[in-house]
Amino acid sequence: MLNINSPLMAEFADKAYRDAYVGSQIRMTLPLQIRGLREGFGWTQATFASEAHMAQPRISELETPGERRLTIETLLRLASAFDIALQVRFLPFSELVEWNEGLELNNLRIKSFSEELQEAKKVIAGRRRHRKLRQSGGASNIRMVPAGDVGRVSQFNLFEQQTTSVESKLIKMPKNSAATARLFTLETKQSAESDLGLLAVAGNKVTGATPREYAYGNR
Amino acid sequence: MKTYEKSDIIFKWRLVQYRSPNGRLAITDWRKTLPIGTPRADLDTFLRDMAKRDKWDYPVIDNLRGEPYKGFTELRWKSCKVQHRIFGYELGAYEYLMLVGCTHKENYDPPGALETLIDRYKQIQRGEASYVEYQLTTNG
Repeated sequence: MLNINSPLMAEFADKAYRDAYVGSQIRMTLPLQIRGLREGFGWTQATFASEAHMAQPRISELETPGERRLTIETLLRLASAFDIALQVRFLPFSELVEWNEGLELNNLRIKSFSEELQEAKKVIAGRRRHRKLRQSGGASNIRMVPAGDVGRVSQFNLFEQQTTSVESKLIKMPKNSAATARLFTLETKQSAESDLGLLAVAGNKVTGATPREYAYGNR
Repeated sequence: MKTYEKSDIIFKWRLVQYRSPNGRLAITDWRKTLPIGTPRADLDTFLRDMAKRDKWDYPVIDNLRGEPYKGFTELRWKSCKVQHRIFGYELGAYEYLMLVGCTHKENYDPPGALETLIDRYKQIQRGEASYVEYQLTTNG
């Protein structure tokens, strides 16, 4: 929703300004975004030029606000060089303003496809480890289900605490069990790889294995 | 590092502008001389983006050449095929004082922008003029 109290609204009352604002996100902000991305990848302009099959001076121009007209073809080429996706879409002004305000322009780091693939492989490997553990009897009567969400540190902290607010989105327990189970993945600071974990919830009491302990069969 | 919060945006830089003895504001007033469409929106977006950036380096900022202008820099962007400049200098960490706004196509517009830069700097040094924060979210 548009923030009508925003001082920007006074400017937006003028259609010429509104239209120009949209264009300025491309003319002014995109070059800085490109530069931020390049820095995030740790590339020099020369490296980037080589990856994008462009001359280095052209990269320099592309990173200068207002210097070059950025076509979709050029942007696609740059996205390909970074091996990241590009989305061009129509959207309401409120969304554009909100996006722009939250936009980070320093050392932008967007995962390339190969990095995403590597991460996905780690998650799958974790699931396989768990399946193996379950087959060996380590998982007692709790049945794992595919993780639909990512458990953050806050969920980790719920472990062994009295609580009534534990969500139980992923419940698949044996019929005769009083507990419910929740599978989640946890990204820890110590490890770049995602861990699989379980919280068993019986009444108000949260028990069960910590993700790391559970996943690695220490419990 | 200090950050400056305005609205929902976190700015790393604080931009300030020259205020003349009679209360004229260097960049706010210059902005009003720019056409309402693209040049004004580009200026607003450029300054907001710059304030978010951790590091300012070429080509968005460059040193002014020539002995009288030593220590001064220019913020640079292009709008409607015209080079736009803001002359100023770093007051301190993440704080930039903007003294003059102008365009450049063969000559500076307004003419004498570089002389104005020196005049304004001296006025501030003598305490005859001051500077105030440039309101990024209100577009000046």
